[in-house]
Amino acid sequence: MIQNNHTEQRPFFALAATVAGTLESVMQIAREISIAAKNAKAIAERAGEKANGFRPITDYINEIGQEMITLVKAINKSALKVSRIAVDELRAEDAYQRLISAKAYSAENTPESIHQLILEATEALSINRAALENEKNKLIELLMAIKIQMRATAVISTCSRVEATRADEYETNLEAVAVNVEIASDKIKHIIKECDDLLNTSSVSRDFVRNFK
Amino acid sequence: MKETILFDQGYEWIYFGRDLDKPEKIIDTNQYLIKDGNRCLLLDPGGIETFSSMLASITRHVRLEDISDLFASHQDPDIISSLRLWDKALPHTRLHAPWLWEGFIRHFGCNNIEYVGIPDDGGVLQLNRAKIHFIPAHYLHSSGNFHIYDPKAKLLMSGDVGAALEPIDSGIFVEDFSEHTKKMTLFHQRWMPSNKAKNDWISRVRELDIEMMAPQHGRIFKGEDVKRFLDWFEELDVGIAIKPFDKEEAA
Ligand SMILES: [Fe+2]
Ligand SMILES: [Fe+2]
Repeated sequence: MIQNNHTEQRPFFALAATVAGTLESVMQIAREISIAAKNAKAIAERAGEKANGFRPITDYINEIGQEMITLVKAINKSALKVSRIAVDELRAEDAYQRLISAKAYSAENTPESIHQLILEATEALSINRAALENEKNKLIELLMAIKIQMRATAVISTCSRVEATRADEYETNLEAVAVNVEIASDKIKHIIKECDDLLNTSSVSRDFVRNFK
Repeated sequence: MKETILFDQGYEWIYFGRDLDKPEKIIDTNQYLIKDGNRCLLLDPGGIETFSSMLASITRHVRLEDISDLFASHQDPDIISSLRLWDKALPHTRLHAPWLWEGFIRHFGCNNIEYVGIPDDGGVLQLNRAKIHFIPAHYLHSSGNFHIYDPKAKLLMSGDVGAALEPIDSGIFVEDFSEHTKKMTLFHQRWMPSNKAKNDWISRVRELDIEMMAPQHGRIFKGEDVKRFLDWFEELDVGIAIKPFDKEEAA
């Protein structure tokens, strides 16, 4: 479920986990698409020659449903990974901040060992930050891929409508299938848009940027 | 993470657990969410390592801003070491936890969340439709420890009482009680320190109308298995780690 308020203040690790949770519902819709495809296939079979144009489309719809499930699984996994890395980053930041405080306590006589720890913490943070950027990019690519797939779905449902008109008495049945696919893909588009917004409203680790300027 | 709805009449009790993504050496935990409009309560939210999948799972059911309250039955890391993260993600919530542990639990990081100490005798928390009771369970196993009882749902969240150590792919409900005791015996004998505290708790819990007893590890007890558990626990001698010392050294 998407958050409407407070998103901007919410830390990135929480937003990423929310994306994973939100996309879970896409899985159900993708399954609906596959079911719609199976129904369409059954109708097309009954319609015989009249559905010659429609039949290959049903296979394609089914394929899209399956691919969507695979993609959503990958996106979920990636979003969770992003969230975990962001949690690690927060912990690394905590450690860094505390070392800085330790340095402040020791004033001019900071022991070499603390300097060394600060150096290591700084490096750990930049490694973590790079990992986060990397995984975040993967997530954005995956979201891109599902958007492309949604475009293919739109083309397919248009074709389905056209082919349905040629199927005589089966027209209404087949058109209903096209409508179902459209409804499902609208729902998915809506959810993906929300995920996009979530990821765009967040900025990865502002604190980090501030600390290392 | 697996999830299942335990109660759904005006508000919901949702179970979360069996996190397949958790690191292997970390104990598996059960988390529970009472979903009640804009007053949702998360029970024993868990450790840092399961935080991300836990958060992802609950956002499938509720908006984060509707989580108004958290509950920690006691101070253990598997219960509430994620506090620092919830503190960032849900700064406006309240944490209900034993008053005794406040100075300790705050070590996990609690800058924004309000710590509401539960007095030793327990108390009541009114959500929207759900009214839940904090049931004292001191020394089971922690010196300051509470369970949660919901009289409408007839559900007792029993913390580490009723816990079992099982593989990550095991079922959510107890199916064969006597078989299940094998996975509970050592845990209770070792972790529960006091027969006196145990028996006091049993006599109080027997007074409650319970259809489900939901522990923080292992499986949920339903119907007759709740009574079976209380009988079994009554018979069990706990606090065994000091026994060899008692007999040999003190003689
Ligand atoms: Fe514990
Ligand atoms: Fe525990």
